[in-house]
Amino acid sequence: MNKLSVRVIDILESIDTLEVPLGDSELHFKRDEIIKEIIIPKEFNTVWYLDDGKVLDIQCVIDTSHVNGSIKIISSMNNNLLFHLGISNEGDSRIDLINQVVGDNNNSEIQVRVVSKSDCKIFLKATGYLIDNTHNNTYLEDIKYLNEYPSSITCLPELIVLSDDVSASHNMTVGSISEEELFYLESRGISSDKAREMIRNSFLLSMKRREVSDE
Amino acid sequence: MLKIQDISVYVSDGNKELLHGINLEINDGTTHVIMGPNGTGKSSLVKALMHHPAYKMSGGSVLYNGDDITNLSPSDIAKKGIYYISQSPVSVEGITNMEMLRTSLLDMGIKEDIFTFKKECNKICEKLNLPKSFLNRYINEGMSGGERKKNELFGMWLLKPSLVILDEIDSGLDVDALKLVGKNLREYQEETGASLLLITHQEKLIKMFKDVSVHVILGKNIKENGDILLAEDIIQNGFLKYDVTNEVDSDLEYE
Repeated sequence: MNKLSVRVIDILESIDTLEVPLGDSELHFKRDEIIKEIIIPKEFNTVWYLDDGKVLDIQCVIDTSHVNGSIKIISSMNNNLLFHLGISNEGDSRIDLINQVVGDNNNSEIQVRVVSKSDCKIFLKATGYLIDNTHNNTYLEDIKYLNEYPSSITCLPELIVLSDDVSASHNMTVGSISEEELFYLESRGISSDKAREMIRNSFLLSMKRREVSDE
Repeated sequence: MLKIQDISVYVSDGNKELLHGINLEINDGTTHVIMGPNGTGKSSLVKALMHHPAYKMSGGSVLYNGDDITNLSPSDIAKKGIYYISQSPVSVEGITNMEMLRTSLLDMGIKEDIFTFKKECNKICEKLNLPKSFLNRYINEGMSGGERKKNELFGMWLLKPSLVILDEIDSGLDVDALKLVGKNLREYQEETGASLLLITHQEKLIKMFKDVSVHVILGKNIKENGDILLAEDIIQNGFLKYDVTNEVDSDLEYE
């Protein structure tokens, strides 16, 4: 069963509602509702639109098994977005993550964390698309893959930058579960399987939160 | 009782022998101190006992309360009641102390409701002079050396092991923190009757315990056994006079 859970932290309380269309379903976020979970179809496309002046931390975790889906975020003007996508994969899947910046003064930080729950393959395409005639935008994309099983990831990080007035960068790293961390948890009486699961989950949710300023 | 019989220790990714034919017995409620020059395998011995992946044992056997634990996994060794505190406790980002300790208790078959758990944790915080917020922090993440050691002792009080192995617990501690740690270990031992195995050269810490047995590792084996007097002599004069293998640099001068 494929699931998507979404947590939205609206730092400036700048949204009345945020609508996330997903196949036949749709997630509506209101100010007081920050966590939603939904069963997603095997094929899904969703477009999130941030119109103006949003300061949001969005944490999505997708539990996938043989899915083909895309998440597109369109930032208009003056948005400050931290988007964290955790993908826990089982089976052969493909995820397209597109962040499209169409206006000025947007700051987008995209964190993607991928783990495999079995011998499986995932194709991940992460695209940052900054269109022409936009100004003063920053875009940072950081992808990390925790390789545990004899699984594989094909990752295509892509930056399409058509504006001169932008700061954009991306990076990707692949690592495995730390033997020291695993030993530590096991030496506290936790079984190896459970310890691995705890480390996987912590990696998936390891969103680098931003400090909220009082100003 | 822990009984180590004729154990040799190797590094896992090779055949390099670090220790050869180690024998050691630790009776219930006793305190043992392992001393030895740098690089003689003190930490390797205790890590191998805990089945750390970087080390392997061969030769004899390790018995704990009559059970053969030579080939048990680290979690099964912990479930037998052995608790290991490393010289540099690792930090684990994303897993809170609360999550880890609740899971530990559950995996050890100890069922505690959240209210009892929190009540007990609050008492331990007081003993260790720790804020209650420690429970919600990630394991050792962003903590100083001293805070990490206290955090490890927190786990000891909660999980109540019958043997605590402490590798250089004194490193990174200021004088007050060392007193607090020593006091906690002594109280823990008095309350539970646990045994302690300490790797240390810290005289102040050793003198906090009664009837200490001291073992000196030199040349891949335990070469000297004694009591507090042996520890005092080594702290005063160094290892040179006990070194029959010339491992210790004879140019060293001890003041």
